[in-house]
Amino acid sequence: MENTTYQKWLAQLRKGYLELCVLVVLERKESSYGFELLQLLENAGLSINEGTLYPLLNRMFKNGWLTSHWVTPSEGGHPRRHYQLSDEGAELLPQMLETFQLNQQAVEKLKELKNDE
Amino acid sequence: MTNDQYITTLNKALSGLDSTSRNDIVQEIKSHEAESGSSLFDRFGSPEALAEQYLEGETIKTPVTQKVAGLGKKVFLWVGILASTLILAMAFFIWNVSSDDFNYADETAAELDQSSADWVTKDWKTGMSINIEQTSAVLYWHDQPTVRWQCNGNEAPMLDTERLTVRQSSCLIMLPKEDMRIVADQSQVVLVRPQASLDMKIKQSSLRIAENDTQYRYDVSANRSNFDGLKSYDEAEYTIKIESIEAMISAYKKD
Repeated sequence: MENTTYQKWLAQLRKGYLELCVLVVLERKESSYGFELLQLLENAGLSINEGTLYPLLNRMFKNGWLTSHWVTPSEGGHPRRHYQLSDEGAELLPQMLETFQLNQQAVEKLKELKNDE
Repeated sequence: MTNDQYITTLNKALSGLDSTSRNDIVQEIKSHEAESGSSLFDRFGSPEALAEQYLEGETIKTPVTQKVAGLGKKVFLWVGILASTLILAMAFFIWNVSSDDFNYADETAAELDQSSADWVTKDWKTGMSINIEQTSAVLYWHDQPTVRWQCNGNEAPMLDTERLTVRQSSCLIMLPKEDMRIVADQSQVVLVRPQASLDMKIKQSSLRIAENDTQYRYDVSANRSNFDGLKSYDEAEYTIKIESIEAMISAYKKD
């Protein structure tokens, strides 16, 4: 497989499920910021670079799926942009998860296809 | 590229965004820089590529150069509208000035001076008629036993033993005071104080009559025509019989 076409496919695939993953994290944590999200995703096994995550967060914010506010850490330092699920994002998440799971199940079913079916 | 240079370049590359969005993005990248302590270029890639990611699907603010171009278009549009208005105003003015303001009902007008050289005079015999086709004709009556005309047009009037034929012209015509038949087709005809009885047939034409305080007996047979502004008097000296087909008959009023 040509590496560049694989990269394109991967980018398309990840765009959707990264958004889903961010929504899942924010549902669990209620609020988080870019650097922390990056670490959480990496710890979960999702390797993602900063150049992808931050524009993604910005897009989700613009979509209305997230809200954000600036928080200055109690220990001092640069203010962090914290994200939370918006009402719309919270409403959307179960539907997204269901769709994602259905797709996964479909792939599993297809993998079980036999030659004579 | 230092992180400061990176931020400067990124800021510039995001200039299409509104200032709030741009500021949030830049501050967030700075926050990440402060947190991670790493080279922004190494972590985010080129600032231009990062900006592209942010700008994807965004409504981009119009750059200043395009604003200037847009302003130019607006100015051009307004100049166009102004020019069109001026042209229309001039056309209206010219039309107004050049419209025919000659009062054809004025029988003493200098234009009708019979001594004028450009009038053609011919003998008129009793029983002759006039055919007017696709012509604008104004008919007057004079004391002479002749017919006189002054015409501008594609064809010169033709006079034979039976009739005067005027086609595709604009004419002033002086007629003798004799009863006669006048046929007009697709023409505009003005009769100025007729001094004879007339038997007229007009088709797809406009007939206007300047009575000039003279009373007439009108005998009109109108077919898909309009007869307006003229009153018939039984005791009148002259009868104007009109067979009208798809025509307008009215009192003459100066344009």
